[in-house]
Amino acid sequence: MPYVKSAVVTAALFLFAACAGGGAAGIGPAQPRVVLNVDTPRPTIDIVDVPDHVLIELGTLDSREHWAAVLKISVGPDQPAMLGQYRIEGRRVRFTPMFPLDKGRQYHVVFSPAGITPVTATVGLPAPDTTPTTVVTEVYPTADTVPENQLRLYVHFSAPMGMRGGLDFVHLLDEVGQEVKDPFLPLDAEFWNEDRTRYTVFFDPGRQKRGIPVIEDMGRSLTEGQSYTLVVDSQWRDGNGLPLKDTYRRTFKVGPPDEKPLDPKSWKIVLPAANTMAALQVTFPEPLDHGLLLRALGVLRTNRRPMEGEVTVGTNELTWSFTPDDPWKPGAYHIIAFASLEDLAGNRIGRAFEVDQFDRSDSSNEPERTLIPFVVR
Amino acid sequence: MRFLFLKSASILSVALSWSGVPAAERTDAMNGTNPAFKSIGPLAFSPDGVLFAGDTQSAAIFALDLGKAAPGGAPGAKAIAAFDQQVAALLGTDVREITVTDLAVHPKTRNAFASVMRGQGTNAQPALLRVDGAGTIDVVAFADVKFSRVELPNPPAANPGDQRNARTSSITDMAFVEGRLYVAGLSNEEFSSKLRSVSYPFNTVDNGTSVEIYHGNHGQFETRSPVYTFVPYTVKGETNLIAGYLCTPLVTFPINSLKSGAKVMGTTIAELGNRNRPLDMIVYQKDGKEFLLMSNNSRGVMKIPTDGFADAASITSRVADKAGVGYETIATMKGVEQLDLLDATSTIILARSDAGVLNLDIVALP
Repeated sequence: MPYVKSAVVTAALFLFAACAGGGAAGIGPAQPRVVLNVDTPRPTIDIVDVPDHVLIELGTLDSREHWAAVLKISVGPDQPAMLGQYRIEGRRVRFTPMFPLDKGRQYHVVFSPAGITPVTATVGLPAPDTTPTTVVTEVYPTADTVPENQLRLYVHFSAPMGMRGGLDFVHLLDEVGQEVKDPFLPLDAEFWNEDRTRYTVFFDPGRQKRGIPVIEDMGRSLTEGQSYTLVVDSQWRDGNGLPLKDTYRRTFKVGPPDEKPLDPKSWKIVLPAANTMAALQVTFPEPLDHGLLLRALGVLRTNRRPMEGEVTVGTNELTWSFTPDDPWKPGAYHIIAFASLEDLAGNRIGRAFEVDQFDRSDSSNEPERTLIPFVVR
Repeated sequence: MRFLFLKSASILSVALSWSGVPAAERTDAMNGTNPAFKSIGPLAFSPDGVLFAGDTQSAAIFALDLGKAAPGGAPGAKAIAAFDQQVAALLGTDVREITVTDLAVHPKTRNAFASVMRGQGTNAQPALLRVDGAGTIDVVAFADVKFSRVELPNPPAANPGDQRNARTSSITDMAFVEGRLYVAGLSNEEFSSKLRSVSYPFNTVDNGTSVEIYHGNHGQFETRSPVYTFVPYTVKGETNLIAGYLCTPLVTFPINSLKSGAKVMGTTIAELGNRNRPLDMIVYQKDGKEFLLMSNNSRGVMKIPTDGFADAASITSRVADKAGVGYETIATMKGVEQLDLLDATSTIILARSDAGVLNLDIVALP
């Protein structure tokens, strides 16, 4: 029965169109109209009430150029036709844009086949809410003091950010509010996490290492004993093209450079009791890198298989705790630390960032690791 | 741009008319049709027209065969003023929504292909454009493109149950040399140099191996500066890669040294100045000599003869600014962000004007 129903509706529409056309002009058929169709998953721009003789003519068009000559849809009257698919559906000509129409953008439509008065119109989807809502939620490291050779910062956002990287929008001001010149690695737009809510800013390592001319020319980006203010400019656009709600500022102090490798022997470990779900807690003598703490430390069972659980990074990134998904069984375990684990200055276990030697190179994807045994009783 | 040597090609087709398949219908397969890019970045052609396209967000590489549709346009390429604005108009948006990520010339048709991201945030959409000799810009329809895909391995997490692992890898450059695709990449967490390689076709080989690159620099070994761009060149019958690193040095090494597990010592043949990032490079011949042409973000376009590369001494002592193999700055080439060899006498470039407009231009090789 749907077929019959549909036919009736079509007939009714046809009658309405004929009446409307006669009423509007008094003579002749209806004038084609431009309609923004939002009933399909991807909104289309339709020309309705197209006269039969025009439809017959349009049916012969076989190229994008020919179609664009009679139905031009563009972002501006002086702009070229945008790309999309043209199709005749009944008495309707439908343009499906290759990419979804932008919300809030006006599209210019000119329908000018031979034999009718050209129809022009401007159509567009409603503008989205343009109230900025995205904010900087956290910047790591969170401690008040960082080493002079601090390697990186993680800027976390409350929502996905746009395509551009942050170097134009992240500024470092000294104690008198003067902007520090070129403190960061001159590389943009590459350092997002997958959902674009975390952006990594590397201090320029060329300014971190001794013996490299940049240090001698410009000094390190940060100077011990000074305070700095990190500014994340609200003009940085988010994934909806909107600026941030507020400019973010945070002031921190700079301590001496840290050029020592990590030493797991200096870590304090609080052991959980058997048959509980208490956290294993590790306290470090200095803050470690937040991103790496989330993935470069773990726990191995007696059989050396990874144990599943929840990791919590504590205040100032000085502690790491692991709460297992299942109660601890009595026995021998290991804390596993991948070689990628670093402190704030890029120092690793047994290897400072600034080192004059060949490192090992791994032929597989399996990282080098350090194992710290412990027993649960 | 990177020119490639490819031994085999898969079967491919490209449709230049869009079929209208929405993104949601795409699959995330390792091969098939309709490649699902999260983002499209570095491009590199094989001599017979297979296009490697890097998905920087997924840390994956697609091999696309443009097939018989590739030569559908007029041969060659034509300069297009305000290329970014033209592309924005074609894609139905504003120029601020357009990011052109790479440019590569088809080895046979000499049409130029550009990778583009349209939009912002996680909803940004990839597009592959073709510019032909008449200056027509077409969009390659992914829906009909056959592909194979390989992912760069992401290191495993020590606590695999945690969902907050935010590490990503991105791809900055690629070249296919002697049966293997070499890929330079960066991580958002580790400041280190990874040059990976994988053989092609992808489905017959491993996930790639990782090799760290070292170079002597200013009296000490700089172990952790990432390779950003590189290009193959042949000297004395041996294939080398010449690599531009972040933080300035130009380094060469023979590709046969890039073996699994090897410790590679590159030769730093030039210090090209501080506060500079290499952007793109090509190797070309002129008047019987070979040159490297390299664009940089702050020091312009450099022309460097390669004949001294083979015997260049490694720079191992401290330098004030520049040292090693000399170069000539091509003053007429300004704001060059991408370049590729168009033909024997000219290069095609994407250059940003002082007003911020991105122009597609064709200039004689210097």
